[in-house]
Amino acid sequence: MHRPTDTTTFRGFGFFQRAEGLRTYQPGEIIFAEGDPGDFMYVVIEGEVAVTLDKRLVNYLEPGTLFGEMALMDKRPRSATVTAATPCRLLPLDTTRFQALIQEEPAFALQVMSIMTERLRRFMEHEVKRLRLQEELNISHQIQMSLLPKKNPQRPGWEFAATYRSAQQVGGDLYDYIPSVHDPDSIHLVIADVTGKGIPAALFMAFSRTILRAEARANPSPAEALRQANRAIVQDIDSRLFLSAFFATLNTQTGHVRFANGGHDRPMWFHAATGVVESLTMAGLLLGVRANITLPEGEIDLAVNDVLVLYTDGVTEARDIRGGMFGEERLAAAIKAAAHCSAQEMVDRLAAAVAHTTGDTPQNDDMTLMVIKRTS
Amino acid sequence: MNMTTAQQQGSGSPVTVMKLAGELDASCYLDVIAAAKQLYTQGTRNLLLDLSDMTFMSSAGLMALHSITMLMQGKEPPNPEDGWGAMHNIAHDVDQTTGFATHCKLLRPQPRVAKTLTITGFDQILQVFTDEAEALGSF
Repeated sequence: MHRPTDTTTFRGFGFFQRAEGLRTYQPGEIIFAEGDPGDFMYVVIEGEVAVTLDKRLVNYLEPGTLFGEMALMDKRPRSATVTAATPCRLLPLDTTRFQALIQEEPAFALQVMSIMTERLRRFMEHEVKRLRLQEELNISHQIQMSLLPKKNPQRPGWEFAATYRSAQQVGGDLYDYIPSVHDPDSIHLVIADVTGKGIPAALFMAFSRTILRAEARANPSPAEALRQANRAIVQDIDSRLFLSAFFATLNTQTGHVRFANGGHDRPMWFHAATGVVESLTMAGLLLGVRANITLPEGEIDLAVNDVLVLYTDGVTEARDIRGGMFGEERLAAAIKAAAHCSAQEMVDRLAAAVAHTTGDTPQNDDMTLMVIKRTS
Repeated sequence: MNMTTAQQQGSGSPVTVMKLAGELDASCYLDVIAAAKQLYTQGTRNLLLDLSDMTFMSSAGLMALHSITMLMQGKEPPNPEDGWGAMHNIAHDVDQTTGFATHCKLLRPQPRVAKTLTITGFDQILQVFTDEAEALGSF
């Protein structure tokens, strides 16, 4: 493990080696802890100490360095924990002794100042980097949000609703509504999940969205659209990611749906007539794995009050505190329980059902839900 | 994730059987790739992954499977640090008739994992066996 070392050693060190009042510490002994009141600063005479913040190692001090000076100056609680890493001897200096030293040895004051300046500079650099990264994530988030549908489609006799929640500031899930150029009554429904999270996944998502839209325009068949998108992803870019994608074409006049599945989680179809929730099972392969794939195509007809729910595995694999998962069964049950509601209400209830299970457990994957309901 | 290996004999060549127990997800997928890399360095050219005690596999697990497949083909898998590295096209070292990878196969996935392999289509790339003898004999 790389140990950051403080190389700002104190000149005139011999003076301290001969001083009185040296204290000895054994390895593992805590010299002081974060939050403790601070009365002493210390000069490391022999041995090494580890400085930790929130259990993370931030510095490693060797003989000739000093630490603890901040609390001595501003009388505030210790900002870090210092532990003896080896057997060591330290010279504690209280305010009185410190002040005496400054008067007797001006070089000492200068040395302390230069050490503190160095530390401040390092901290500022770190802060700037952190703020820059945060800003980039904010911008990436905005760009990504602009790529997702701004509103749900409006079609007589149908309700569309969706929700998207990324685990980090940007995510790798994608959903889209694409008006069909082949048939004015039809609309393409797309849901996809890029492997991974964060910025690389978000970039790949943006690319995939463009490809899928282009292939939807060029190919009337969902299976063909996915096949061509797959080929583009494998061949045209040096992609290091792949994605699962479900593509359906819905005819809003007839309720007829043609669909193909590129390795994505099976959408659920609520049959209003029977109250049964069926998983649409269709073989397929993740996109981006193989250049040439065969994808079968399926067809169903949505009856009045039927509901189609598309989702990503961030929903079914959402974890609760005990490590259990939300799962397909719970999702099916939640769909059945909410199927009488509007599409928007359903989306809200399904999202709430997941949130109820996960509680305070942090979201570990992007979550997307799409609900399509036939109302007449 | 617990990993154990054993050397067995295939129909013509030695096979390393690596058993993965527990959950294969983002927290350990890199360790699994590293273990496979180590095996390859030590001479393993045929790898059978025993999934009988693997309870769950996330998309990170798929990345691991894919990287391991590439490793067994003598290829360097993409650097995961570049953001979830994965594949381009596992076209090489693939049985031309079946499309399966020839040097890496899967044994006895649990129902949940088997379902993931089916949904994602990975069972079209990595041949899945339920019988160990049959699996070893296929190498």
